[in-house]
Amino acid sequence: MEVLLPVVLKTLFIIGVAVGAFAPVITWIERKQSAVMQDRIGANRADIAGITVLGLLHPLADVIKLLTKEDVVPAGANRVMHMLAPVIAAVPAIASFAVIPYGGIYQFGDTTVNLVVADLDWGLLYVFAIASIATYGTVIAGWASNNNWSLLGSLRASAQMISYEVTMGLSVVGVFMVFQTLRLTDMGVAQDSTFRIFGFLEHFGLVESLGFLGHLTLPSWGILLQPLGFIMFLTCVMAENKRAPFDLPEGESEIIAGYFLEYSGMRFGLFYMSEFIEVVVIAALMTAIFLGGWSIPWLSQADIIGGITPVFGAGVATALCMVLHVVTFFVKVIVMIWLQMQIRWTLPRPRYDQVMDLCWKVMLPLSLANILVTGLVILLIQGAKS
Amino acid sequence: MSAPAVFFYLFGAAAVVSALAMVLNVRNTVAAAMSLVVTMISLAVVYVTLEAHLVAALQILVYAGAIVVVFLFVVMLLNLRRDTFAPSRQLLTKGAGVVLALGVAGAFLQLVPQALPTVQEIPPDFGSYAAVGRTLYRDFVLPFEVTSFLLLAAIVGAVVLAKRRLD
Amino acid sequence: MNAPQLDMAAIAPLAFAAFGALFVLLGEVWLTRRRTNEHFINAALSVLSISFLGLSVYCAGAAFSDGTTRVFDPANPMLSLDRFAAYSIALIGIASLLICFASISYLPQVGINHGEYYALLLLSTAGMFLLVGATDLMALFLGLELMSIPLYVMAGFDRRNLRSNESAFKYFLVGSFASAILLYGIALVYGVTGSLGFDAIRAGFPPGNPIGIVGLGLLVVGFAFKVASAPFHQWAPDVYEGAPTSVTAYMAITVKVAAFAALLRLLTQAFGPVTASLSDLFWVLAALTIVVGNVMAVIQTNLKRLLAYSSIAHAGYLLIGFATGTVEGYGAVLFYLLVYVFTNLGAFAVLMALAQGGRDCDTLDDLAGLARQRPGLAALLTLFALSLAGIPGTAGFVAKFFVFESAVASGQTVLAIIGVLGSVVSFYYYLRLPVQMYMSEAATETPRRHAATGELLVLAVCAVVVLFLGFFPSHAPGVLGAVRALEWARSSVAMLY
Repeated sequence: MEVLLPVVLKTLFIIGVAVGAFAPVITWIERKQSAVMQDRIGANRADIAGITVLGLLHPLADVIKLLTKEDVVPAGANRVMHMLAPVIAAVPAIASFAVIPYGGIYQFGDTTVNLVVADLDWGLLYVFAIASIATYGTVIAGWASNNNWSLLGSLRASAQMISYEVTMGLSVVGVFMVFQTLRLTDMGVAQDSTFRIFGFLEHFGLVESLGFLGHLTLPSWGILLQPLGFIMFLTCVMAENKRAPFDLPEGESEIIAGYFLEYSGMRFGLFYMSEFIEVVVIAALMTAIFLGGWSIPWLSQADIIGGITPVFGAGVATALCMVLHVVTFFVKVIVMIWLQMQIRWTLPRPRYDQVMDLCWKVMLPLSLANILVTGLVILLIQGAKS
Repeated sequence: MSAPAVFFYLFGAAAVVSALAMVLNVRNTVAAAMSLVVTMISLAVVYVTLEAHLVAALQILVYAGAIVVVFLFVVMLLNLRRDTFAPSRQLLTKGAGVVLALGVAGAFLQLVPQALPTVQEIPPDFGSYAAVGRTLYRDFVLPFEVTSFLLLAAIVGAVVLAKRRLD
Repeated sequence: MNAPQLDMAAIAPLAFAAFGALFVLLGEVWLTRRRTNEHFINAALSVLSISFLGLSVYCAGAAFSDGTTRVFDPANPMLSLDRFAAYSIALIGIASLLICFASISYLPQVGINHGEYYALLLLSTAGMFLLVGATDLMALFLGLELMSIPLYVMAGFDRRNLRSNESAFKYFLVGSFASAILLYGIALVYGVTGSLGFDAIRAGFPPGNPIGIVGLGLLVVGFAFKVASAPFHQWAPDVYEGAPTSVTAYMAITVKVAAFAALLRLLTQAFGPVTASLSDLFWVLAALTIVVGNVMAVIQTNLKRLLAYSSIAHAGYLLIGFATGTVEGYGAVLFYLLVYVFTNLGAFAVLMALAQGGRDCDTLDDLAGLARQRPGLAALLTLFALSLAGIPGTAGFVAKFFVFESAVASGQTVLAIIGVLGSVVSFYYYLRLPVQMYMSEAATETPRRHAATGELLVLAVCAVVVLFLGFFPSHAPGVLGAVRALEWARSSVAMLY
């Protein structure tokens, strides 16, 4: 029981925040965002006794509507598969949160608190494996609907997802090499530090001649060490999530709504929600890998706890630091969600062959080149040190 | 029984049942392919209980996540409906299949105790990506590199045979 | 964390062939961007492949004369370059190299001059190099697959030709089946010995274990499929007939050398102590293969099918050497493979030189009246047919003599008699070629193209080897000749023990 309780608490927390709070709210943010981009007012009508709360009641109205709508299974469809598909799509999205750390490792006396549900040695691989299962939701949805548009959509979806999975994996190999780990917690700890911008000049004895420039530091975040990896990984995960500009599988102008064309009611709602949950997953994952996770730039965990312990005592200081870190993490997640929204409403949808060309002819060679260059640089640095 | 052992037997049974479901389901090819996915995922869980974490991740990533999706792709494009695959009525084929399956099962029942004479202590980093990587790139570097050439040959071959125009 | 000590010299032939394939692939892209002349590109890629194969052969030759055994990774031995591997690699490498020469003019004639041909050929050759040097079942299997997969594609290289498609598909299905059988055999052997390395299997193979015997049997059956030995031969005529002639030549010649060499190493190094119990199995395989190959060849009218059955018959003669289970028998097998390479390659090269205008020369009628139009080619084809039949004065006779001699010496007299009778039958169908060329009138008076330089070179090399080995079975020490070559072969086999 002592083992299970913290795990259950952590699971409830992350699912509660990500699925219960973030996902519904960002459906509202998305509407408002698109309204801003398109010079409209946006959702503001749903009200309880005249109180609209800026339209924040819309998610609630949506849920009530979806739950009360008729649930249609088309004639000739495979009933079991049709029912199963939205579940297969939604579960992997939620399961990904298991390995994402939303805080660091804290020492309260004898007990260690580790703010991640499952601190797996192969954490990032787990995320990829889980993400690859999500493909089945779309494929089965398209097939089981007995509708040619759906089938086309699911074919597009599966081809796109398999293709981008390859590049998604390869684009973060550089990160593995830099941090020497696949464990997301370790990545967070590694990013909770700084590096000197011109530190590499030290081996040539040139740092002193730079004066104060020699002491300039940057947080050793993934985005700064692997900028190309960041851009490519973001592109790939967005393509995996099938949101604009990669929403070819549901391209309205060509195939009506793609794989979930024949879905209504809460089953459509599940597809819809899983897309938004994945937005949160992507934001959290990007934060953990590239944006330093829970860490506060230029202020390491030791600095914070050491700084406020004289005021509050060790226990409270650690707890404060923990809260600070969790808040930092979610602030970064919000920034990443905002970035995704911006991209979604800025870029037009390319043609399907262009999407595939981007993956196989641009990103794949680039990611391989990134691995090669990263490896060379690491070898050079190691060689200079020894 | 410890928790890993419980999961081992649970998902081992699930793997066997779903594998049987795949083989016996001759009417609905998509359902058969989905049973295969369940088998793959159950096997991955079995690997996890055996501490082979990397293999488990790759099992899902490669087999469940990529290869069976391509199976499904083909099955869906061929659009085989229920009546396309009439169940085989040839008793001889079925009988031969059963006899062969029993023979294989018998061979395994005799082999497994022989092949695993003693319980071995596994190294502490067993199954981690670091250990697998060391084995792959050091002890088995030759087969590894040859395999990449094998895949290259297959890719070139597929392009040669399937490309619309060769010039 | 010490880096493993790898001996790169041990994989040099393999690496040259494999990386040659990469250079060919890149070279094709590079050349097509700059030159539009397809013939130039084809010739350039061929020369590129030939130079890489030449490097491989050179490494093998050096290793052969050196005589030492080099192991790629001594801590985990999987591939070694020893005298035996060097002999086989040199043989395969020279055959592939000569086929590249002949392909320069053949490919454009049948309209399939795409650069991938050479890349696939090099990859397949690399697979064979691995196969003959493998001292581990995993490496053996990978070599077999790397050899086979490009071959499936090459068989279907003439994509507009339905027969070529059929050939590729049949070869693919049968080949995959054979690989699966072989793999199952490997699994069973691993099950009883707990190891894949040849040395460990030799040490740990329990003689009486039925599962081990079944595993060994499945391994042999897998190889029997690859070398087209009866009763696992049915695919060969169809596949050989449909594939482009240069690919047929490549399949018929190099695959046989590689598969027989690998089987030889497997039987001596891994299963040495139990090989004697397989003698009866090889006896049956050899007798059946000789009978089926020779009898079926009699009724063929298609040249490629005829040569396919002829190659099945030759596999039968080679299996006689395996039935003996002695060093002399195995040595005779290696020498036979040498003769087989040059004789068959010569015969196929004549057919390639006669291909014209998108059409292969592949029926007996195509040969009618050839002696008047192209007396040189007709004479050469006659020479190679006589050597295949085993007429004294040609290399084919010497090779058969050594095999039958070793069979008699080890007490397999009946098998030797079956072999001789099979050879007598084979005279009938081999002599149909000269009869058709010298005694029939050409149906049409179409002008035949002149053989290109590459083809002439191949023909010249093959003819010289066939005649030289046939006329100079010298016993004198230090003098090159058939006996000397046999000694090379024997010493290569002897080092396996």
